Amino acid sequence: MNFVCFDLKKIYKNKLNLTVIFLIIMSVFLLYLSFYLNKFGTDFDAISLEKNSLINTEKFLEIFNKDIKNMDKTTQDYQIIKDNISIATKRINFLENLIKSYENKDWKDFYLHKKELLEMDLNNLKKNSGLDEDSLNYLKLNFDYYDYMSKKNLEHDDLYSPLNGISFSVKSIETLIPFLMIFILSFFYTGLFTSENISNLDLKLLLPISRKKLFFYKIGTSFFIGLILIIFTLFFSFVLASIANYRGSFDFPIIIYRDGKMILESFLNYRYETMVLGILVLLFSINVIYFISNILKKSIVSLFTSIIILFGGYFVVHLNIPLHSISHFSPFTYITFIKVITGEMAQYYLNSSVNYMSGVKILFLFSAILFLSNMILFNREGEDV
Amino acid sequence: MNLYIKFIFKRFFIKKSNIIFFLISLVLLMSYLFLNISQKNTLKDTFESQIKSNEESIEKYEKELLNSDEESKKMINNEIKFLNNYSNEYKKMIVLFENKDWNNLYDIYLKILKERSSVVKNTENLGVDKLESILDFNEKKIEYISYLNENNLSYENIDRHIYGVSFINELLNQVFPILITVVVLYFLVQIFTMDIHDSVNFAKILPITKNQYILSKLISGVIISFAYFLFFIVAMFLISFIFTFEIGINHPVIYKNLNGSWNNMPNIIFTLKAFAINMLYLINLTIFTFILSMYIKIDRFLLIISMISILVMKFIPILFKMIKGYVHLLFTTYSNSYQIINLKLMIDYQNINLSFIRGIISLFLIALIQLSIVFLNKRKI
Repeated sequence: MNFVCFDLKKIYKNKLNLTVIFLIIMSVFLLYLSFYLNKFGTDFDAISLEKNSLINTEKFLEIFNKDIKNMDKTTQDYQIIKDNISIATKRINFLENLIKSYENKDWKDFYLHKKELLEMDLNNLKKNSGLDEDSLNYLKLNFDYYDYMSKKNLEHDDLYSPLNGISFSVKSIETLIPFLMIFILSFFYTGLFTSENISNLDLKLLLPISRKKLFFYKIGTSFFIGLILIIFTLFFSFVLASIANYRGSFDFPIIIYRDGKMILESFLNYRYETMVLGILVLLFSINVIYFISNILKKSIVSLFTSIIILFGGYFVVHLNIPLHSISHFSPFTYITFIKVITGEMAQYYLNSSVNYMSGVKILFLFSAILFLSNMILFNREGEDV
Repeated sequence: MNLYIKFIFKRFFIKKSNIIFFLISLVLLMSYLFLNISQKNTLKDTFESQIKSNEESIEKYEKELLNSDEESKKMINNEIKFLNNYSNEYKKMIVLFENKDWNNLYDIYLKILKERSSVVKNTENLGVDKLESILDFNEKKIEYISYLNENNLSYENIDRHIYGVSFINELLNQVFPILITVVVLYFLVQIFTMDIHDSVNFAKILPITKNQYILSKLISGVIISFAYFLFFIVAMFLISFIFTFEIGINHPVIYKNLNGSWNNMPNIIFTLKAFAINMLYLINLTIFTFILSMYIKIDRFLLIISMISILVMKFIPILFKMIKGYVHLLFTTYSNSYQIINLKLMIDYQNINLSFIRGIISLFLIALIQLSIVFLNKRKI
């Protein structure tokens, strides 16, 4: 146990490691800022579009009311203007209610009015048939989102750029793990696994601990560090988003890609899958980096190779369309584990086998093979000394 | 100073891992080429699948014929005749493809593509966006095939290039922006930290001035990054030539103009322009890493911080739309020289400064600014 504490202390005492922690904080902050600006814009008003729409509709209503006074009631134009007046009045009513509920922070009503407004727009668009299927599906998804939010009485949030504590934490893990965390985990792990190799001497062989224990200590410490980093990312994201917006609820909706369609489901239904696959991805990453460090020994070479293999493994399949049909056999596919669970990756690869269950099987299989190889390699190390 | 540069090179090339990374990069690029070669008959496969789908449709129509009235029968028969005509054309094109009778193949294919455009334009129930994207894709193909036809060039898959310079251009777009940046960063980190042991810079005891030290490091860094880049350009050009016996100098790069229409540029002009941008990008990358190395002395930290900094500079304009107007001031924007020359980045970022000439000027100025930062802070070494 002293050895684990020693490893952890080494990381804790190195002040340069704080730079890496600072990078996580900066990345989370930038991600949130981009989401915030996406939603609120530079004028920091989430309903500026609706306010402008209200002003424009009122102007149109005024024009319609002026025009209709001089029209013959029997003409077709009169009927069209009359319909437009009715639509504009209805729209003004919805928009006023929407703005009022936003200002009163009555989110149930706010989403209800948003839904009603979108329903009216959808009906008008269907009549004019100026929309293709993709745009129509996008609007329907928004409609379902407003419906879900009003029914569950959830606080103000955004489907694509989540702003609340819990929803943003999940999004930050989804966005940051495949990119930033690969760098950071590789950095910490290669440091941990190669720190005893100094000038071609393996100092850990001098320690009065059995090899088996030493091996498990290393894996255990790395797992602990990985968990701490992920929990830190989650915690910081949660605190930042909670201060800026609301704490949110685990019942927030996520987009699920099923049978070529996008539907909304509660995150609560997928929380265990997310945890299991997340832990398996972490274990797989630890074993890959350990394997590389075991072979290459030198810290910087191991760090660079780990980054190249983890990123390369993911992007080689991701960018090569002919490999998409066999993407479910690659453990690197599951690095973006939340997207695997939601079915987004399966849709992107047009390969329904990329799912939670194959993720569990493949990650477990590869982690087990690498774990055994690492154990054998570690036990053999220095035997001829 | 020359002696010190030679010493840096010797220490760099003596490291087995560097040679291994050269070889791994070569294997990776060769796999990419073989993957492209495996898809060189995609056009023929498309014709075959089109014939199959036409046959299925004809079968379906023939079944419908049995239960139709006279007027419907006439319409269905016309449809069957139309599909049969197309199938015959596709069959002809397959024979021409196999015989490598390119010009005759292009004539028929162009006719079909133009007809397809007019059919799509008249199709109802297609949304505006979808209609535009189908037409746009068709226009791109028409521009490409017309160019090949006019210049009597052999066919090459529009998305998967295999001929010498064409393949180099594809690498400049798809692979090099990431591969070159990452591997060159790794090499640069080694060059800039090789004299530092336990935070002590042993180069200080060498009989060279600080200015000579800076210049030696920067020159070595630039030479090694150029060497890596040019080695793969030449190697992949030769390998693709060995496998295809085509140099692809006259084949075109198809790109979109600012007015939205498709245009072409011969590969060789395109590649030379992209080279100029890439070279200046590598110079900037070298100076940037050197600046970081003045403050971060440990190789692992320098590698991770420089990688993440470049990643952040690359992705920040995507996250923050308001930065798009100033994106030409970041040297990382020019990592994909291909997308600078084909105007894609200019259109995506809506930034007129992202043209070839302005790009060269920006990169030159950024390099000068970075150099002045280096010399103003040389006491940090």
